[in-house]
Amino acid sequence: MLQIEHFTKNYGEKVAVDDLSLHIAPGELWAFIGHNGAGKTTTLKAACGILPFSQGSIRIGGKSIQEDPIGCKQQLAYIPDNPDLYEFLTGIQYLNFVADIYGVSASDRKARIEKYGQLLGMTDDLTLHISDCSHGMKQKIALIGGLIHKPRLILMDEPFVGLDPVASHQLKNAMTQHCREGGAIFFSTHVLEVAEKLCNKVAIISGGKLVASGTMEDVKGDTSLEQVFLELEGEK
Amino acid sequence: MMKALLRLRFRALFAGAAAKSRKKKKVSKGAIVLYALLAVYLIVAVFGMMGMLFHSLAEPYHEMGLDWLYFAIACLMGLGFGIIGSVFSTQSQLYDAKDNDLLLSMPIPPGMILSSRMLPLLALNGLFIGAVMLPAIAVYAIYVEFSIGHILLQLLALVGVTLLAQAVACLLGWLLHLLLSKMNKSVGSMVFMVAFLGIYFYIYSQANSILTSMAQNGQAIADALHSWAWPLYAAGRGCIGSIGLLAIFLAIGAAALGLVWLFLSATFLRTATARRSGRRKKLSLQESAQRSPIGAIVRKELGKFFGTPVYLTNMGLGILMLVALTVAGIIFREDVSMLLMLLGLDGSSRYLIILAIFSYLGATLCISTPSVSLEGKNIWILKSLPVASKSILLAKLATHCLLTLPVSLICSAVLCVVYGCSAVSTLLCLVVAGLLGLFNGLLGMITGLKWARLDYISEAYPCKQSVAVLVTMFSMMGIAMACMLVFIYLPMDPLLFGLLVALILALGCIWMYQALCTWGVKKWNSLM
Repeated sequence: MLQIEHFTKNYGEKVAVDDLSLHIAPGELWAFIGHNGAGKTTTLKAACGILPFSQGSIRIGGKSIQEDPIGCKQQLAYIPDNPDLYEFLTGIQYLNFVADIYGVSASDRKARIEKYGQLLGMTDDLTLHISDCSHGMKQKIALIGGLIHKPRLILMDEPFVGLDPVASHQLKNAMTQHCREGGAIFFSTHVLEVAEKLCNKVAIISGGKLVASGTMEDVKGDTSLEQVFLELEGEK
Repeated sequence: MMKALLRLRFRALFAGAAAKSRKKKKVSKGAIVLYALLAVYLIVAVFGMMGMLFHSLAEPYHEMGLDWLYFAIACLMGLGFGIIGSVFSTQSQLYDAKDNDLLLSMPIPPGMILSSRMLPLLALNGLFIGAVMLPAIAVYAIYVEFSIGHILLQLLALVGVTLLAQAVACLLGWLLHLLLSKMNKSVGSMVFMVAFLGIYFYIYSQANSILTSMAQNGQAIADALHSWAWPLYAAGRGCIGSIGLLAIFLAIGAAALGLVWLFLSATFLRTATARRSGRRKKLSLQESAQRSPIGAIVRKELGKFFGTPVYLTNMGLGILMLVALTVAGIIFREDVSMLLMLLGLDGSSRYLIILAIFSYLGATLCISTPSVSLEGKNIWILKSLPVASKSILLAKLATHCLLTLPVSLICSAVLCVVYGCSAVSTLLCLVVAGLLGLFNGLLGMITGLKWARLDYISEAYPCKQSVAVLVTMFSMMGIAMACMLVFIYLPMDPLLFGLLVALILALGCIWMYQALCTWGVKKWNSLM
């Protein structure tokens, strides 16, 4: 579903991500962990085609994000860490805008907005202007916007930040359900307990380099993910 | 602390230039020449207009021994110009700044945050007022009396007027913010702007009779000012040598600004964080009809235009002015027709006057110019969606055309019919007007991409203070002026001239369209 090969990204002379390779198959739920500035957001942004890069390749569903960005973007959804949405629109107007771009039919979007609106407890709030919404409400709108076209791959940057406990719980269920139906999710998080309980795969990045990746069991072994992460960070 | 806040404000103002210098890019010679030309154009246009106005007052008032009144009127006009010119930026800079919440959460007294925002505004206001008062001072020095001492006093009076104007602008800005926090911001801003401009244009349209009346009734005006607007009397007297009265005027200005500062400081926390409470409605999914991706982006752009007060009022006002001009053209048809006859313009050449006026007004319709920068932090949305960069840029251009072309075409057609232009010249007028609108849109897209800045603190930056808007607006005005000069100094058949202009504009549009689809797409892709 997502194939990252030797991906390197520089900001001037600083190497943000260095020779990162990762394969994500359908049905897999990956956690992407690392310290602040490790290169998680850079990788996610490059994978969804909003950050140009010159070294390595990223393929989604067999298509290259550099050669066929539209074809790749049709299959994915990106939810950033900070839900900066169009404040002059209402929630429902924003969702209709996203659905129009993806060509979601009127009946499908109605069903999905109702489903995810109820799931995240947002239905009534969708008539509010986004400028009147709280951070958590914006995050929920961004999530519904990401799910409205039934993407095969979902890339999320810190998706649980700002969500209330109920919405957080429902989102975890929705993520598991999405992967059970054959989709894939690659998300960054600092909440290691959530990653450990929710995900079947994990990737750890440190200083722009992928230092560990694989099944959760293989990476953490008999210890906890937190222990592994701290040990890897300590080795630097 | 104050130093740090001011440094932050000026860094925000000059962040674009700073970024350039960090990348070790030198400002090109072309850009320097362009800036210099813009500066010269502004100085000549504004100073020339004001100079002529004060020239008609200086000598009559001097002969009547009312020199002080001349300066009192200059102060009054400066005050009005300063208030009208800065009330909207005062409101947005004081209360709509995106870092208000952050700064208010820090251990900084609100008054200090307010001061750091007011000082740059004060400098801006000084520029507005200088544009009125400096020509008045120069005209007086040239035609009446030259005295270094008096010029220094007159410059001090300018400072006093700036303090007073800033005090009033801050109060009005506070009032405007309170009103806008209780109603639809775009509509409210538009109503305020139209009301302000209505007053301005009324006074401007009556300028001739006001000036004549001022020149003839100097004594009566002087008496009225003396009794009803004593500070202006003091300022006027101060300008011609009364140091004591000037000191009082300066003290009044400083006290007014000080009192307003105290009041705004006390209310800043509450006012800056006042939000319009959102109203929940029952969600209806009936409206969710499917649109094409381009249609969805155009709709989103229209939403941005009508939902962003500073965008609507600065870039959309020209549309209202085009309509107002057409209505005025219909109402004053006989007078204007007579003037056109006196100028020797017949049915085949009258359309050139219509085009000349429309191209000047049309230059203010830079709707496409800030549209790229206005994506700001939201740019990730369009970039992550499956829509080609070229389609995004063309959708922005289409929004510009959708908002400007119908109005401009209808208005020019109406005026052509009202003023008896021939069928061929009417058609030519429509073609040139359409091409001008498209040219403006394309030029706006190119400049908007060239000088795109996504990290602004207030939306006023891309709409009012960006290089892109200045370059687009003055380029369009320059093109209109160049065409007029060519027609005046190289007389040719009006229809042939129109065809030539249409051809040049069409070629310009084709070239810019190509640039937008190649360079523009690359530039868009590199933005983040």
